Amino acid sequence: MWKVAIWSWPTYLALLLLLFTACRSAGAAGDYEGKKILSVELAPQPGGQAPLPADLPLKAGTPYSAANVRAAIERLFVTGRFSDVAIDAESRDDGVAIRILTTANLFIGRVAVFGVAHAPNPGQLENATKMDPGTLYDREKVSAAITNIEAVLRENGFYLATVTPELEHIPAYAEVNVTFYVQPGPRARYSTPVFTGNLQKDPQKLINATHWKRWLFFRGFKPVTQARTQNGLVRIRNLYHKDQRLMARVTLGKMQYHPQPNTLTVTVDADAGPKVDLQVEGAQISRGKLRDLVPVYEEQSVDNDLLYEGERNIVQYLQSQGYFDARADYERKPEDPAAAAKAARLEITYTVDRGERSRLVAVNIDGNRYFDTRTIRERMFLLPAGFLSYRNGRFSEQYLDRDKEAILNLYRANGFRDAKVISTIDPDYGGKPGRVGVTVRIEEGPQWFVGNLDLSGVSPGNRAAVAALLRSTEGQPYSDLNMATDQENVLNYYYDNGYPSAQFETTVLNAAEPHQVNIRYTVKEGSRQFVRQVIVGGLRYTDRDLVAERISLAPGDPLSRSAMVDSQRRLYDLGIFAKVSTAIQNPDGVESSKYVLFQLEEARRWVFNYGIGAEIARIGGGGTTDLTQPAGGTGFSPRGSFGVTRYNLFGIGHSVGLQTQISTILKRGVITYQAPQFEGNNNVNLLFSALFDDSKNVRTFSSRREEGSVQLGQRLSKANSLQYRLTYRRVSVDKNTLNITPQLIPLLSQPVRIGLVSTTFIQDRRDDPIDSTHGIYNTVDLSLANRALASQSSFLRILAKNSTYYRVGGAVIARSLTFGSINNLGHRDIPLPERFFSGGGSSQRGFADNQAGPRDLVTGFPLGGKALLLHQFEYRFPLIGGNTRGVLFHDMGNVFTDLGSLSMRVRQKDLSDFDYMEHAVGFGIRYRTPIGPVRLDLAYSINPPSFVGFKGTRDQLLFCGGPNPPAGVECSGVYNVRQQLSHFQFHFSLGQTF
Amino acid sequence: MLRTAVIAAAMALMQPLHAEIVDRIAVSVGDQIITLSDIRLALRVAGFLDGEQPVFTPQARRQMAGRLVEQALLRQEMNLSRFPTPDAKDVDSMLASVKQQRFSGDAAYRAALVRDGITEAELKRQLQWQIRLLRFVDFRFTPALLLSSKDLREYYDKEFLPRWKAKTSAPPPTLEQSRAEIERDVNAKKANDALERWLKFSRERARIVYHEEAFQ
Repeated sequence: MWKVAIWSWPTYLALLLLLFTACRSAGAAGDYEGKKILSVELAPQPGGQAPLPADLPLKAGTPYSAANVRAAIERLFVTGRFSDVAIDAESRDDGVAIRILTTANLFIGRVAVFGVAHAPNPGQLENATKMDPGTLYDREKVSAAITNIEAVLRENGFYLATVTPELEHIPAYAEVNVTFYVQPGPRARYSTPVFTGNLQKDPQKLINATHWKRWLFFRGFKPVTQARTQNGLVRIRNLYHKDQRLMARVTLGKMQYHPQPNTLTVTVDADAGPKVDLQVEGAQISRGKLRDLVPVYEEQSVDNDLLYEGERNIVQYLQSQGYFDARADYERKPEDPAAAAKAARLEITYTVDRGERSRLVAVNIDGNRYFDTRTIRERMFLLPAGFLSYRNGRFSEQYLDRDKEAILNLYRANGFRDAKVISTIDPDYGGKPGRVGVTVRIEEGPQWFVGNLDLSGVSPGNRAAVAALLRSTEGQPYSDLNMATDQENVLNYYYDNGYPSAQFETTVLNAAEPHQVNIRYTVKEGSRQFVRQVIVGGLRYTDRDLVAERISLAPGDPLSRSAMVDSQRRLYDLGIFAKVSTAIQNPDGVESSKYVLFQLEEARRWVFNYGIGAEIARIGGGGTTDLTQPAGGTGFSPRGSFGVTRYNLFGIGHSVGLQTQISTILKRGVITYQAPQFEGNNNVNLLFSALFDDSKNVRTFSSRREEGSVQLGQRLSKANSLQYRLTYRRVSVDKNTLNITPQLIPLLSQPVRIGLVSTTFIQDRRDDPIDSTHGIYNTVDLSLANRALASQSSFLRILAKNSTYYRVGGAVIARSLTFGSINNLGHRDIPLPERFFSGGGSSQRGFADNQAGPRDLVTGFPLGGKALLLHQFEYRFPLIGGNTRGVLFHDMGNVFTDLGSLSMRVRQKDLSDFDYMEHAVGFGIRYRTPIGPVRLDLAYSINPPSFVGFKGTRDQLLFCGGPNPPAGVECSGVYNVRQQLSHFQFHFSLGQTF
Repeated sequence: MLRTAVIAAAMALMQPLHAEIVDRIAVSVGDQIITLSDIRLALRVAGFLDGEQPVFTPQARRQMAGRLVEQALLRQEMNLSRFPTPDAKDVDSMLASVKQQRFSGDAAYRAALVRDGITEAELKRQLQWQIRLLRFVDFRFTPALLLSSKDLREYYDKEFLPRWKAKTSAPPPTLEQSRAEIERDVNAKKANDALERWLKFSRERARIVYHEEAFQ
């Protein structure tokens, strides 16, 4: 037993102080070192929390280590989920309990700006915020965004705007949606701009050039927009360039805002620079050609690099003209760029020595064994002189170098590592001066093969898929191109399967065997990322399931950027979203699963469209009481159209629309209901339509059509699609407008109900459907009308079209063949409106609208036919500049009584025979516009039909044929009036003929 | 009785009453962090190398944090350019030099380690880092410097001569005679200026966040 002294109170106090001091230092990290960790928990976060990384260095059951604590803090920080991490430890009897305290990061979700619709548009303002969805959120970004928005608003004249942010926190996804509400205030107007610098022009001319002043009789200036300001500077620059001042500098200076009149005074700093005088000595090169060759005009600047490029272009141009030894040098006065900028004039002279003109008469290739000469020639620019084109041949040193490079690449791509290509030029080929021959000699060398191909670093699960992607294979020719393709394919595979940091390295070593290489591909897969969840934002009206069906990513899937892009495309294809943005939340954070964001901006649901137009041609205009002009006359038909469409009906992406068109020859209304991507199938769409049509575009009759149809469209591939259609229509012809033999009027004026089932196959491989230059377009339409479908007329109709387009230099050769046949399956004749009618600007141009084919033997009006054959040929070539093209065309074809009457005859047998092949040639002009080419065609029909017609009134037509015409109806001289369609037809319309 | 109660209380109070923060982020520099333990270790090593007692006041921690921030910016640049890490033998050589200069023998050296709470492994890592840092600064900021005759003359007239005259009344060496020394001094100053400019620029571009809880 030990005796303890009685302590005085100071001793007690000292002891207690000592103990508390000991307690304070007991929490230091060193005290826990080596102790067993009993538990590791993450302190709760508001909303959901990310799971702890599986590779966190702190684990229950392991010894505590300060180094591991530090490593754990770092591991958590690099996930990107936390802005602050602290570890606290509590000592227990048998170990230490660890708690992880964190402050979670927030990420930007959706960013939207409301309040200004135009100049700037919402998209520009959203870009100005520089807040990208998925990236880290902090308050400073919001302040910076407001500053940037205000700057863009000021550039567009809104100096009194206020911007108010609204934040929406979504703790479950650690997301913040930011909306900026803009009160723009009134837009400022320009005031008289101030010009400083060496102007060399009247300031009033510069002011006019800006287009900032209001037009004509309106006083004052236009409202400020950024585009208008920039365009003004560009126009001033162009004004100087027209004056050959190619070095002119025009920049924006101060912008002085005046609150009271709400105007903006812009200061423009301009330095006119010298006039640039560009001359060529020693060769005749037109001004227009010189502008193309010397890039100082296009670049609107003068420096030695551009002048040297001009020198090379002039030499190449002259070589292409047959001056194969051409040389050029340039000289500038003054030489010093600084002195040139201050001088009044800068003279640039290209001195050209053309040399003798020669003809490239032969391009010989020898030494090739692996590839035939034709294969090599296909890759060459050099061309010997020809009769129709390249009269002196196509030759230049640059072309020759390019050809040698192309041949070498061809050989290297097929394993000929040591291939060489040598050229020699014989200026007196065949002993004749002025005749040049080029010989390209190929030394193939041995072909190298792949000996051993080693693929390392690929995990077992990926091995089969990666191996299948490789083009380089053992025993096959070695190729750099194949290796580059392998790298691209393998990396794309990894990026699409959740390995964003995959790396691919290639090593090539000579094998022991001669002419063999061993290839080693080393892959570093990196860590794999998966989808944690897909977050969709921005939906107000659209059904969520509609969107979810089109997103091909699900929680747990590998994170694939191509799947994100594919989903984005499918959402755009719905046609109901103005914008679809996709992003990964926390893209730089090191974590195995990520949120994938889709931010959607719904498009306007109501869309109105209207238009006015006109048709000028020898128009039909049925329903005429003038029976003396069965071929019609030159007419003008104004037209107006109006339409309204409601998109995203019921929030499921369907749409309903009404389109109307009114002109002097047509009244039409169509209601459609469309269901794109029907039942979630990307390739199927459903269309219901109801149509009312009252047309007078066939001179023989006016008809009224009421029709309802349902169509299912199926896309088989990118180029091929099918349509399946069920149509019911009722067509009635106004008997008072029927200009035919009176005996046929009661029959043909009966209203007819048609029930049709049809299918159309479309193959479209054109480069541009509006103005094709290359490709092929085929359609086949098969329709069956039958009593089983409650149709009053039974027939089978086929209509097929084949069009092809070929580029020839700068021109296009286009041709089209159309064939149609109607086979009557019933007793009733094919109703007039169901027959083929042809003729006009989009078909046989030798005829006016719908004037081709059989005609009534009394009145001479067209009756349509049951067979159609038409071939069109066009040579489309550049005419003036880049927007105006010319067309030479030949159309041949006709509408025939029936299939058996098809004939290639070029003459009529008699005045009742119309079953022959009509030919027309002509010339047309196309002017390119943003909505397609405006078209004017003038056709000359070589063999227009002659026929007998009627020269009288309707009463005479109706009554003179009978035994007892009424009194007062004069019947003599009205029948058998010989007529012929005009040789000349003109057509004016929009879009290509085919 | 009271004595027993005090002893019992003392026994109980030997255990901590609540959990303690053992480490935390003090500063984040882009995607790098500087923890409280990093700052403490740096202070201990600095004290060890300087032969002074380390001070852990908030001001000292903040000052050391500032230096570590600059090192973090440089580390980022080094990693981008894959600057090599010094060999173990370079580190051993430097350690041997430190031992020789500061300590009378191995025992004194080891006692100092224990006193300052540093392990030899930690010390070597710090030395390795310092060697790498110095080499990188020399490599990155020195080679681009070009000294003109004007620079040399200016330094000789404005810096070298006044310093010489303040030290001694002996006639000063000529510009040619002192060229090597002047070039060394001027280069060092220019390198330092270049480094400062780069650090200023990098600090403005980087996202640097100080967590004040670490400096209470």
